[in-house]
Amino acid sequence: MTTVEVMKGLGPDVRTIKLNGHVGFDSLPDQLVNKHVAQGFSFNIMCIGETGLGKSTLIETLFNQRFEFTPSSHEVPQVKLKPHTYDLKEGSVKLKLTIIETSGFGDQVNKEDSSKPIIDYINQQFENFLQEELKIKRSLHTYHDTRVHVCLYFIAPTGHSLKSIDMVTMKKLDSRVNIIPVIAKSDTITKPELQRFKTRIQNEIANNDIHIYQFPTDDETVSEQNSIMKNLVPFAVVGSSDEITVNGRKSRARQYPWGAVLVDSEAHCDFVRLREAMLRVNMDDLRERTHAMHYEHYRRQRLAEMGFSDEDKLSLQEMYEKRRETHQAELQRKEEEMRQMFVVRVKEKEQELKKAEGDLQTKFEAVKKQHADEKRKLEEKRQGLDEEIAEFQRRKTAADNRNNLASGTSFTLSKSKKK
Amino acid sequence: MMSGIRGNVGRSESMRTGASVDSHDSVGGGSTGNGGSGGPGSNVRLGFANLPDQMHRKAVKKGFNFTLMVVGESGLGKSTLISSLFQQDLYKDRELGSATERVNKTTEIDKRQIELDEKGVKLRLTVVDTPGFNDAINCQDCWRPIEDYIDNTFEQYFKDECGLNRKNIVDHRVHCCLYFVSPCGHGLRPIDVELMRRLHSKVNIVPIIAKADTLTQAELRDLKERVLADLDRHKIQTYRMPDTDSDDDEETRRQESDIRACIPFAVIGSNCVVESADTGRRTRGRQYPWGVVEVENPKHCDFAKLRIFLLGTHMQDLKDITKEVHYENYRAKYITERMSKRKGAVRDDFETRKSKNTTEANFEAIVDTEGLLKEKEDEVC
Repeated sequence: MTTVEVMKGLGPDVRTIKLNGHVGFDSLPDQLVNKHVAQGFSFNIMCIGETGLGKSTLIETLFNQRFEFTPSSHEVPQVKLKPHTYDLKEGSVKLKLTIIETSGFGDQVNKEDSSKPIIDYINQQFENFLQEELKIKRSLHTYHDTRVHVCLYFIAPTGHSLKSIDMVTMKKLDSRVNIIPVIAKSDTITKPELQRFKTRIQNEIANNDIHIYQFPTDDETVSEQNSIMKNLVPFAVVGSSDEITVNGRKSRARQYPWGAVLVDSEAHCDFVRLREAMLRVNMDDLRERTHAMHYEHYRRQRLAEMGFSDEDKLSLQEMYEKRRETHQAELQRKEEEMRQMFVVRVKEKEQELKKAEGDLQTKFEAVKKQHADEKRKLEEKRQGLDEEIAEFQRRKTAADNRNNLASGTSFTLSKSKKK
Repeated sequence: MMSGIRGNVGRSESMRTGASVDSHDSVGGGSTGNGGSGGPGSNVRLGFANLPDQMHRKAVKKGFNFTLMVVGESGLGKSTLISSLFQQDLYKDRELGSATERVNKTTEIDKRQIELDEKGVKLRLTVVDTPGFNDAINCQDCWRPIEDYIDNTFEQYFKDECGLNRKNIVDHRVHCCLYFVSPCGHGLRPIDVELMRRLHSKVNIVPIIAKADTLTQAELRDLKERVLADLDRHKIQTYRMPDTDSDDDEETRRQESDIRACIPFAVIGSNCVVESADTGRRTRGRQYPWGVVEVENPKHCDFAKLRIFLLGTHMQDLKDITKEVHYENYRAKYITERMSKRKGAVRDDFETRKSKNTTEANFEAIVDTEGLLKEKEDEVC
């Protein structure tokens, strides 16, 4: 017989009751987890850093896989982003991992436009999600979430401080994505130098108000770990996929003439702690934050652009419908207008054609009249000619008769008789 | 050498042998006087074998000067390398700017001078640093201050050379430029290529791979190959070591070819002293949890070779190339430019004057003839 007490008070009219027996809703978290595990998770990591800082190698080391990244050259004219998606499985948990890498970052002589392609990409992913959310028939639970959950910013191991491009880029991205800065190739910095470097970077980040990802400390189970992690930022990492045998065991390391740097050793670098912080402990928090903070921020901005606001006291859906109706009405009106115009034009054309027809008709009549006139004239002429012929015949017969009477015997009518 | 000898030609052979024997003895200081006449057939020295010796003493008295320029972006270890090379901390009081200050930073020229003394030989070393190179967001023309500085030093020397009082010319010309290439990268970057293209005809460029403790042996080999291929592709002429003479001994020849195979030098610098792992000696190095890097250990990096190259064997050659090739090129270009400009001005002047004269002359001539004609007419009439 277990007794369960509900601790948090919910409001003045909500009573907290002590349970006297096991009801069974303590399996709710399990149900939730099971459902999500069946669906699978998606996680999107973006790696920003200069060419040659070991971004691809670190990802391969983090996930213990060879991902076949091709190293890029230094002569890329503009920063480009290359996303690759992989399906991983650990235990019974499926993960759809997307790695987005920058190529050509920091290589150009004029680096002013370096962050634009990155910001465009992040916004595009938010936009896609927003469109999916606003659809009438939507399928959010099967939607492949491509929003960037975490951005690993690789700092070059100069030992002095941040570079100008690091500061400017981080400042532009801190309101759109969770940033975790890491010091790349940190096996070139000795321990005391590393401490100075980290302190310097932390100060610069604080002084310039750059909001990097803060590990959450409100949950008791992870707060202790996370507060230790917080002091370790930026993580000094070393990546390697090559294995060497040390003390009889195979481990990932970098072999130098003066010794070997063991990637998995906490004394050599912060790789293990980065992996814990990012994957083991706070992965869900990163996703949560991306959705609750960065995505909402983007959404608010975007909808304000579209003309929505909260003061109209209408829900988004209604507003959307209203908008759509006005839009439809607008379209219809335009259609009517066009139709009217069409009718008017047709009428005009018809009139024109009619006039042309009338013209043709008159022409035809004129021609016909002319024709009739000419015919009449010709008839008259013919008649005249006929009369002349008749006259001539009469005269001829008269002359013949006279001849017949005169000669009496010869009936030859000489032709040569001239008149 | 034989042409300078007068008299006693018959005994020239014995003299020659005598002279060569003596030259071995006289190296190392102390002139053994002018060769007087010794006995016939014995070691009669003329003494000119001491010439190198005399030169040596004079040079030591005068002292040497050398100007070294270091170019590369911040954080590549240039200052540390200079300190390690010359065992002096030149940049103790240097202040590093924060990232905000660097957003719009322009390249500056920072000259520092020290005098070093080793076994009586004095070296006046000038190190020209270029802080701010490739720091800003927009690095367009960030190489211009460097180019202008080198041109100015040449111009200054040219003017001094043409001057009346040439006794105290100070040579500020840059004899060698160490260009630092970042080890985190797949070869040369566009800005590296741009800068080297503009400087390779004005100064001896020696490319250096900085912070070489980032790279494993295999990675280092790859990077060196790629840097050399990139230099070739963009037709950049870095400093080339002169070929060894055939009468140099095996040792020097081997050393030379070793050094030549190493370019670009992969260096590590350090301001701290550590205990070496295998010998226990205290040398400059870097202490890591996984091992100790010794700066002067040839198995760890090429620092020792760079030091031999720069200070031990090729310093004079670098100065000679600067004097004979780069400076002469600059001088010839400068003079022809000035001449063509002046010629152009003079020619224009002359042209305008000539044209004016001819028109006036013509006009006058015409007027004259007309006048003459009129006179003639009047005469006739």
